[in-house]
Amino acid sequence: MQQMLNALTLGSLYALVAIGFSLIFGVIRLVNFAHGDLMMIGAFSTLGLLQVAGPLWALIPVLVLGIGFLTGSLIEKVVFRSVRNAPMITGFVVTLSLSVVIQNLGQMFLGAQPRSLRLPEFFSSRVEFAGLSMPAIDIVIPVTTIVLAIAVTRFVYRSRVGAAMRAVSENIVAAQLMGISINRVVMVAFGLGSALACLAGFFWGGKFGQIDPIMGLAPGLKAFIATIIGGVGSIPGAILGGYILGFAEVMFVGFLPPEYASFRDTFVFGTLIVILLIRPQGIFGIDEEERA
Amino acid sequence: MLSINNLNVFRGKTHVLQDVSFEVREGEIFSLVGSNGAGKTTLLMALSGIISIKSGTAVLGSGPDAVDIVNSRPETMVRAGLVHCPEGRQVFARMTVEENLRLGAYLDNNPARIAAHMEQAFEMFPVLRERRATAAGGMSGGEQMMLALARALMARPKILLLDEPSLGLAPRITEQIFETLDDINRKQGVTIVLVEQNAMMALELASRGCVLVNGRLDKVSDAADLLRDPQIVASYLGVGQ
Amino acid sequence: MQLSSLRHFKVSQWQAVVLFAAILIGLNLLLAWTGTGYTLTLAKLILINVFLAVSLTAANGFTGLFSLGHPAFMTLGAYSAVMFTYPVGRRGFAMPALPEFLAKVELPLWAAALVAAGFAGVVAFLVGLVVLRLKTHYLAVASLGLIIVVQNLALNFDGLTRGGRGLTGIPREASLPLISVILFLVVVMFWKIKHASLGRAMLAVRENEMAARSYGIRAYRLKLLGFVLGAGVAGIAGALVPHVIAVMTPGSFGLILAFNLVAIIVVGGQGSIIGAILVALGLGTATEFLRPLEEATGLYGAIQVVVALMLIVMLVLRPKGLFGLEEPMVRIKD
Repeated sequence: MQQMLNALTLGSLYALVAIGFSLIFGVIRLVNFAHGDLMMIGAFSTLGLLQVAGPLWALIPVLVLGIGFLTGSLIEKVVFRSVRNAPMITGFVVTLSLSVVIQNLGQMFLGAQPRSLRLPEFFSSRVEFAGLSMPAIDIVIPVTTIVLAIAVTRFVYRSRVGAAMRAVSENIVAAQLMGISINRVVMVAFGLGSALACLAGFFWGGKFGQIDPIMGLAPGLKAFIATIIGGVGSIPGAILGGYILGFAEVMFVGFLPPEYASFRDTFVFGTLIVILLIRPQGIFGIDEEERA
Repeated sequence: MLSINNLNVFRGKTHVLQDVSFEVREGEIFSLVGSNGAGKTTLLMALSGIISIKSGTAVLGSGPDAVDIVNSRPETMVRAGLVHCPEGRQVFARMTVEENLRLGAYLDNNPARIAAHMEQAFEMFPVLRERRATAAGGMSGGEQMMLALARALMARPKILLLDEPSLGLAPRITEQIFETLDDINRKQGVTIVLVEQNAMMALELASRGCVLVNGRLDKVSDAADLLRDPQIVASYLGVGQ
Repeated sequence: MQLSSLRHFKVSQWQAVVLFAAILIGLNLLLAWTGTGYTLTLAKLILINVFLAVSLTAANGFTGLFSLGHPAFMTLGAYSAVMFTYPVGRRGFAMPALPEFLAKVELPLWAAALVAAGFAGVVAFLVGLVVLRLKTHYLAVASLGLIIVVQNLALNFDGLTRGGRGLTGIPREASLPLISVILFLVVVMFWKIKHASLGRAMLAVRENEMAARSYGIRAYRLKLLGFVLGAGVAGIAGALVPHVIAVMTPGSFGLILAFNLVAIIVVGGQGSIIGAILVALGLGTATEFLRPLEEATGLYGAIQVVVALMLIVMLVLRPKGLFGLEEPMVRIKD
């Protein structure tokens, strides 16, 4: 049963990051390799904020979301905007380079050693639910994720800006002819996606207790896999993919003999290859050839 | 309404439009004729701000409210009342008819007005009302054209650029569309710049027109004169019969 | 700056080959004369990096693939070679899981390197069959995954690899002449391929795959060929490195290397062999020069940051790299 909870938590974290991937890819067809590093930024921001927040700790998640939004928008404007019309590989390499920069700068100025992060008492306080006792954070993470997931989905599918995002995703020229400002739409997508990734960092640090400058790499890659499973460019797909991957990973480690536990990553990537071969567009994916 | 002088437009390294100059008067229907590859679509895209202009001037309107097209973004052009209905309709296939219409009114922030405009769109094209919740991609070519037109009108443009509206449509539907265009022009005073393969129908509808040959403007005059011009008859009026 | 306006030296094939050989021989003599242990090791590693970069140019650049997986093939090549060059006496201790018939075989480095190339090539073939059908960024991620998977496997099959403890005491058999010869052969091979109809077909695939296919070019086979050849050479490179530094761990060839290789290819121009050589040389020497700076300030990773930033700037300003598809400055008469 504890396994289920772990799967739920892990899945939620992957989902939060995956939504961002999908948003960004959907709008500008860019695989943002540096997306996972936003998790690291969120985690370290949390560390910093914890030292000054004191009793106002409830504000921290909100601030982290804000930091994520601003950082994401800034990165888009300064680094990615100029390669927006370049071939996909160029964009990918630029995001890869940015990731290297962020990780190395992190190591240089924050130290390569892992730091411990402890969220306020509230998160570790035990809660009784369905006959089990668990730390509050195990409830907070999935609940927050689901709430945010629903909010983002409603935003994308019911709001004016969301419609603009979907229009840009489908046909960039036609969207421009409607008077939609591509720059603004892209900025919103980046900001929103990055905010969620930063929040995931907050939760990751809180749940696992340890953060370091390269913590974003592996989860980032896995979140990308989750996005692929669910279908790149689809928000519900990203959410579903995140949970599927989280569950698959935990189940794999949980139910196989311990010698195989270290093959976990091999398993995850193996799954990726299989999915890419059978159904590359994932569960809900859009076929990117379609984009005008 | 539209004043274009010595326009030069490049696509990549190709010099597509060379020293193009003409005028479109307010309230008229102006038809652009030319064979494939002459640069008609490029011209429209330059006017709506999608493709950048290398040199020359292009001005929408006159006096203090005039908009300099050369340095304007697509958003600016739509806001200024110029709407481009692109080649191939380009409706948002995965979105519903209603969502498409709403996007046409993207720059409008008055929900009541948007709703009113949508009502009027449904009056003009009843089939759209029937299909309002259908995904646009599932409609026939004619229906999509109507949607594209209605969507363009949601922004209540002063001038409408239309790129090959009859492409791929059956003659009867094309006639309907052209009648609607005539209607829009007369009753709502919308200036129309029409690019058409079906040169005959286009020149019959239009009051003035011009011919684009390999990126250069060949003739500019009244549509009636163009229709009688033997060169034009030979080159373009055999098409689309 | 118009790089195409640099003077083009027109040379004949033979002149170019002789010139290249002469440069390498000169380097060998120079270092035999004045080289210290440090400069010798440095030269060896840089030269290996150079032909590694060239092999990536062939694997990726010619056909326009984007695979980050080279380090994985290096790891495979490294372990398969070391398996045969490790002193037999100690093999039982370091690699207990090695089957009897293999444990007795001891090969000279050049032979082991061939084994490495073969092994890496075969794996690349099998992997390529599967992943080369994927589109650009999917391939990139899958190839990244390959690095992780191979590292994982190396870590876990510690009966063969000593896992995380790594293998030490590997004989330093990689001599500069050997490396130079390999470099020479690799460059000449890929140069010939590039300028033959095979290479032209591959470049056509890169420019416009659909158009190339319509001409009857078997794009998929060419991609596979480039991929396998590149992987084979990467295997050789992987085999050589541990014989320079005497150590091999699963993490020896990882993401950082992948990134640097990509940086070299992108900056040098994705199809340019000379570009790859020049940039690899430049990067290798510059890194060494700047290393004391890193240590003095304690800012480890600064060089990496600079490389990455330069790459970003380069891509923004010149998306086709410094040299694109062309070979700068040298045109060989056919």
